[in-house]
Amino acid sequence: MLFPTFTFAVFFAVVLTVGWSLHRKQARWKLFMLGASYFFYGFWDWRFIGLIVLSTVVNQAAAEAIHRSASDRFRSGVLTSSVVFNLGLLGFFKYYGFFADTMRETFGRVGLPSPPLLHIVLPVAISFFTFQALSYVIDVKRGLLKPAPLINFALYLSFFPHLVAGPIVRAAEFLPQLEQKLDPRRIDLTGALALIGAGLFKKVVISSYLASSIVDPIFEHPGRHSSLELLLGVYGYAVQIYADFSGYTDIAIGVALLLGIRFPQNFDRPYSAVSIQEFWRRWHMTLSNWLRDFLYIPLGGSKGGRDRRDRNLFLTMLLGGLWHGAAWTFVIWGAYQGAGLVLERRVKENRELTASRRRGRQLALVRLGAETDTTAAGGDRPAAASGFDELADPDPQDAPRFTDRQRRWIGRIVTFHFICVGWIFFRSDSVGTALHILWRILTAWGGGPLVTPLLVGTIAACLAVQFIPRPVTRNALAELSRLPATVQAGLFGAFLVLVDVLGPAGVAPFIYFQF
Amino acid sequence: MAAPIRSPRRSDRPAAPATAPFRKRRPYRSDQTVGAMVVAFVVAMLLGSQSLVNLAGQQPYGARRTVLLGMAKGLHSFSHALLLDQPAARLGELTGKEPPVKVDVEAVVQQQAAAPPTTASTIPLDINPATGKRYVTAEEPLRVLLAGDSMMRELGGALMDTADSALAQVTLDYRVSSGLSRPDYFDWPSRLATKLDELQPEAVVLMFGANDHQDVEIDGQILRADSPEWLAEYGRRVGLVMDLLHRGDVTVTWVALPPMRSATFSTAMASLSEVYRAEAADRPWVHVVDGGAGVSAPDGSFAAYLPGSDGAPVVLRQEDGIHYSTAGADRAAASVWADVVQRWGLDEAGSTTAAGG
Repeated sequence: MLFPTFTFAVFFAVVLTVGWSLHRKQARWKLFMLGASYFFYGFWDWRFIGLIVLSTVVNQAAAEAIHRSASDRFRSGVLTSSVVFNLGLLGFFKYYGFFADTMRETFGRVGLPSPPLLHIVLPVAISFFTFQALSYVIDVKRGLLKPAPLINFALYLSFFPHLVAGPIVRAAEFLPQLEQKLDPRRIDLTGALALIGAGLFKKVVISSYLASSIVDPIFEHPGRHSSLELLLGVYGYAVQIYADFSGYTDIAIGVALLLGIRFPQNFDRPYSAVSIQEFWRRWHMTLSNWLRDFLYIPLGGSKGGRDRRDRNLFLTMLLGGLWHGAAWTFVIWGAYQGAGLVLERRVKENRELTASRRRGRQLALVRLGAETDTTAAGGDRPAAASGFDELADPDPQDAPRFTDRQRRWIGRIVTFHFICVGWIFFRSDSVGTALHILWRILTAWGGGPLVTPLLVGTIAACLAVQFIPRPVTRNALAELSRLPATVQAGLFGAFLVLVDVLGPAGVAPFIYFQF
Repeated sequence: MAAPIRSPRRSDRPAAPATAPFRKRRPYRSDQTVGAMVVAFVVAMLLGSQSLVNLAGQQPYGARRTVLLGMAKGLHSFSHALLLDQPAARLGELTGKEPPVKVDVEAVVQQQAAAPPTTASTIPLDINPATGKRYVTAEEPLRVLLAGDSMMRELGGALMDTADSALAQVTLDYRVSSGLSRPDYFDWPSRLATKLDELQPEAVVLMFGANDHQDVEIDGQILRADSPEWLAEYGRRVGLVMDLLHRGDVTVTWVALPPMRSATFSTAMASLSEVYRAEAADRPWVHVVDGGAGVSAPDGSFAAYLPGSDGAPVVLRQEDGIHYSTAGADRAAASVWADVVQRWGLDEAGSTTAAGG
C-alpha cells in the first residue's frame, strides 16, 4: 500500500478514527494498531507477515534471555546469535544473489564449486525492521533498555508509518511512548498536515516530474545525451532522491503525529551542508545515527589514533553503502563517501594544525617583541625600531583568501558536487554506466532537448528551498495553527487535489522501498 | 608596541545573534483532529471528484468496480452541479493534463482499407529489390516506433541500444500497467493512431499482454478471462491494432510473451501469444517474434539464469519473475531487432547509402 493513493487514504481514515476511539484502552489500541500494521504490510504480499512475526518472536526471546541471565558469557552468546539471525535473514533475502554471483565469477573461473543461484524476492521493509530489531536487542544487552512486553515490541517493529522506508526509529525513542497513555489533547495537527502535504508534493509532483523528464532518460541511455543534459540529469537525481525519500519520511512522521506518536527527524536541508560530514548529519539522520552507535563505535570509534579512526569511518560508510543495495555500485558509493569523509577530516585537521602552529609562532614572536620593547624602552632606541612589530603582524600570505561567507559557499558547492558524483554510482545500473556518464559529462559537449526552463527552474527552486531558515517555516506554521481546525483541513483537502492535478497518472513506488 | 594577543573580554565579544524565539503551534484534541481529517477527505473528494471517477473506472470488472464507480459518479454529479470540480478541471487544462484523445480506430481502419495512406519521405527513394522497401540510409533513417506495456520498458531500452542510431530513428512509448484489455485505463489503439500520424513510423515493434489477462466489458456484459468469448474479443482487438498499422510499407513486429515464473501466469501468457500468432497468420505485414528467445530454458520453460558467453550464469529476469533484466532484455532484443533488420535490409544498408541517396 503506497502512501499517495486513495487506498491508503481510506485505510488511514479508518485507523485514525478507530485508533483515537480506543486510546483509553491501551491494550486494545495496541492490538488494533498491530493488526492494522500487519494488514498494511500484508497488502504487498501476505507471506511477508510471516517474516516480520518470525523476526519479532526471535528478537524478543533474545532480549528476554539477555535480560534474565546474570552470566555475561551467556548474554554475549545470545546477543551474537541474535545478530547472526538478523544479519542472516537480511543476508539471505538481500545479499544472497550478489554473493552467489560474485562467488561464481571468482571461483567459477578457476573451476571451484560455488553456491547455487536462487532468484529470491526481496521483502519490502526488511532492511528497516532488521536494523530496528538489532538496536533493540543490543540496547537491552547494553542495559539501556528493559525488554518490552511482546505486544509493544511487535508494534515497534511493524508500526505502519515507519515500516517500509523509515525513519529508523530506535527502540528507546518508540517504546516509552507505548508505555504511557496517548495524550488526546495535544495533537500537532498543523505540523502533521504540513508534513503530509509537503511530503506528497515532493513525492508526487517533484520526484515524478524529475524522474520522467530527465533522470530516467539519461540514466537509461546516457550515450544518447549531451554533457549538459547529463549534468542536469545528475542534479535532477540529487533533487529527485531527496524529494522522494524525504517526502516519504515527512508523510510517515506526519501520519504518526496524527496517531499521537512522535518520530525523530530524518532530513534537515542536506544540500545546504558546507562539508561532507555536515551532509551526513543532515541526510537520513536516523541511519547515520544508527551506523554511528551500532557500527562505528563498536568498531572502536575515534579511539586508537587517527589511522584507526579513519579505518572505522571508512568501514562504516562502506557497510552503509552495502545496506542500500546488493550491487557493486552501492559498494563503490559507500567507499567513495567513506574516503571523502576521511580525506575531508584529514585536510581539516592539517589546516587546523597549520593554523595553530602559525598562531603559536605569532604568539611567541609577540611575547619576544614585548620583552624586547620593555628592554628597549629603558634605552634610547624607540620601541618601534625593534622590528618585532612587523614580524608579529599577520603575514599577507597568511591572511585568509576568502571571507567566512565565501568559504561557506565554496564548501556548499564542493560538497554538493561531491555528493552528486556519488549519486551517479548510486543510480546507475552498473559501474560501467556510471563511468560512461562521468566520461560523457566531460566530453560530450552540447545542449539538448531535455534542457528546458521549467526543468532548470524546478531544480533551482528545490535547491533554493534548502536555504529557508528554520524559524521562518516554524513561525509560519505557528500562525497557520491559529486558524480553526476545519479551515486548515479544508486548505489541506484543496492542496491534495492540487497535488493530484500536478502529478502524473499513477504513482511510482518510493525509491527507498528497494532498500 | 604590539597589541597583546588575548581573548576578548566578555563585554568585547560580539553579542550572540538575537534569534527570534520559535512560536509554538497550537495543539488540537483528538476529536478535532479526526473531524479535521474527515473535512479534508470530503473537500478533496468533492474538488477532485473526476479523479475518483477515473480511479474507480480502473478497478477490475466486477461488483466492487460497479459499486465504486456508481458512488464516484454520484459524487461527481453533485460536485459538478455545484461547479466544485471546475478548479481542478481548469488547472488540469492549464498544466496540459487534458483528457486523452479518443480516436475511432475502426473508422480509421475502414478508411485505410479504402484508400491506403503512404508514409512520408523527404527525398525521392529507390526500392531495394531484396526487401521490396526503400533503401534505409543515414540521410533518411528508418523511423521506428516501440510501444507497449512495462515489458517494453526494458526491451525498448535494449532495442534502442541495439539499433544503429545512424540508420534508425527510434521512439519508445511505453505505459506501465496498460494493455489491450482495458482501454478505459489506457486506450492503446487511439494512442497508436495518434502516434502513426505524428511520427510516421515505418517499423513498429509492439509488446502487450502482461496486464491483459483480466475480464473485459462489452456493452455492459463482463467476459471472463480465458473464456471463448473473451479470447474472441481479445483477438478482435489485436487484429484491429494490426490493421490500424497496415499503412504503406509499415512493418509490424509483435513480440510474443516469454515464459513466466508462475506456471498459471505462464499458461495464460502462452494463450495470449497464440492469439497474436493466429491474428498475424493472414496479415503478412505482421511478424510475431518469440520474446522468450534467448531467455528461456532449452525446453522452453522459465529460466531466471542462463549461461552467458563465458559460461558464467547471467540473470535474465527481474525478481518478479515477469520483466526482463537488462541482460535478458538485451538477449530478447537481439531476435526482435533481427526481424526489423531483415525486413528493411539494414544489414546491407551501410553499403547501399549511395543507392538510397
